Amino acid sequence: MITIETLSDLIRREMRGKLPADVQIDETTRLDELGLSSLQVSEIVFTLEDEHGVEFDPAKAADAQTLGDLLALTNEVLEVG
Amino acid sequence: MDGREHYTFILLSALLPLFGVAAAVVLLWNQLVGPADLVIFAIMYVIAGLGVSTGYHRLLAHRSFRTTRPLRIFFTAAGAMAGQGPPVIWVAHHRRHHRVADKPGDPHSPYHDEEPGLKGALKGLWHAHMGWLFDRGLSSDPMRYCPDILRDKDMRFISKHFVWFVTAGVVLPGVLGFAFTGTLFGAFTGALWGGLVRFFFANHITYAVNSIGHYFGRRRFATPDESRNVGWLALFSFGEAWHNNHHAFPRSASHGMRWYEIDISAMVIGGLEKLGLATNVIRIDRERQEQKAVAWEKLGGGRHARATPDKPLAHRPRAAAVGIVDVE
Ligand SMILES: [Zn+2]
Ligand SMILES: [Zn+2]
Repeated sequence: MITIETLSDLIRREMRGKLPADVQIDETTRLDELGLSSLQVSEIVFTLEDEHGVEFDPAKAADAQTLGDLLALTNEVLEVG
Repeated sequence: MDGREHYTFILLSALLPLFGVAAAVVLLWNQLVGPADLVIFAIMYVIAGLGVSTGYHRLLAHRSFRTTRPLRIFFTAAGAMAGQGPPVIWVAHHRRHHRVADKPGDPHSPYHDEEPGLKGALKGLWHAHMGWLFDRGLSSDPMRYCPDILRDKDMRFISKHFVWFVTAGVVLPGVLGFAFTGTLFGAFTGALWGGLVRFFFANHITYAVNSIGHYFGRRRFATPDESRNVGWLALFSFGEAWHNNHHAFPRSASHGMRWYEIDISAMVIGGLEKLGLATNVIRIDRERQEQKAVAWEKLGGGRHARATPDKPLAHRPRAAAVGIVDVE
């Protein structure tokens, strides 16, 4: 089970301080409002895979629009695995 | 690289080589070009050309063979030095091109918005050659088109630091120039010929496969697109110009389908296989070629022929299941 904190840590690491100052990170935050490029989103998704030893369905990962979607997706796979 | 950075890069990569060629012509005119410059040009041309053809195209986009991790990194890094874009973006656009070749949604078809007459034809060819690169609205989501590439950490690294690899493609020939001549002027002309002039020639050959290779030439297979085999482009494109063969059998490691169809990239892959460095090399025997040729003939061929699947992935309803088998 991963939490929104794990995810926001990953995002901060990926954005290296370039995160817009006024942005709120919670489950309703949209990936595009964080200014993440598709490569950065994939870095986050596949780092999650590596760190938790799971495999996502990339098509579902591509459909994720909010952090909540991504979180749900990860925890879904984690529970099954 | 985000959208704006990518656009700036495209602009620079179109303009700088032009200046480079102009500078090179002036130097050539004044006989300030030595044999070392031409050797460096040739070395860099081969490295970048194989990077795009053997690496980006056959190894990554079509998975025509497998190789060791160091070689996979080498070929991809060499492809990045060609300056045609980060591997994940290049592969995504390219797989999309195959999926809907010369139909709506193709990122670089010369038939993209068909206008009548010579002007329309030239416009289409320009679009397929380079014009498509300047389309800000165009994006092929790598997560949909090449999750297999994204899953590879090395590929993400090279994509992320792509600009450094392009820079290395100019610095390296400069270093070679210095090594060969021992002078700073030699380093400068080396970087010019092996870097900028090489960008110009190598990239226009690749672009020509996309423009001419869908317009002028022979069609052996009645594929549901307009791809052509362009013999005179084969040598310098490392075999990429057997483009109709390639659209007929995208996964084939060899784009030349007859002994006389020269395909340097296929020779490199064959050589690696003999050394035990390439495995799972995909080959299409003559019998299979004939069978498919007959099947396509029945459908009529060309861009108006029916093809399956018929839509680019990005236009599919969300949450539709996709696999990479769909797109290569
Ligand atoms: Zn094509
Ligand atoms: Zn291809």
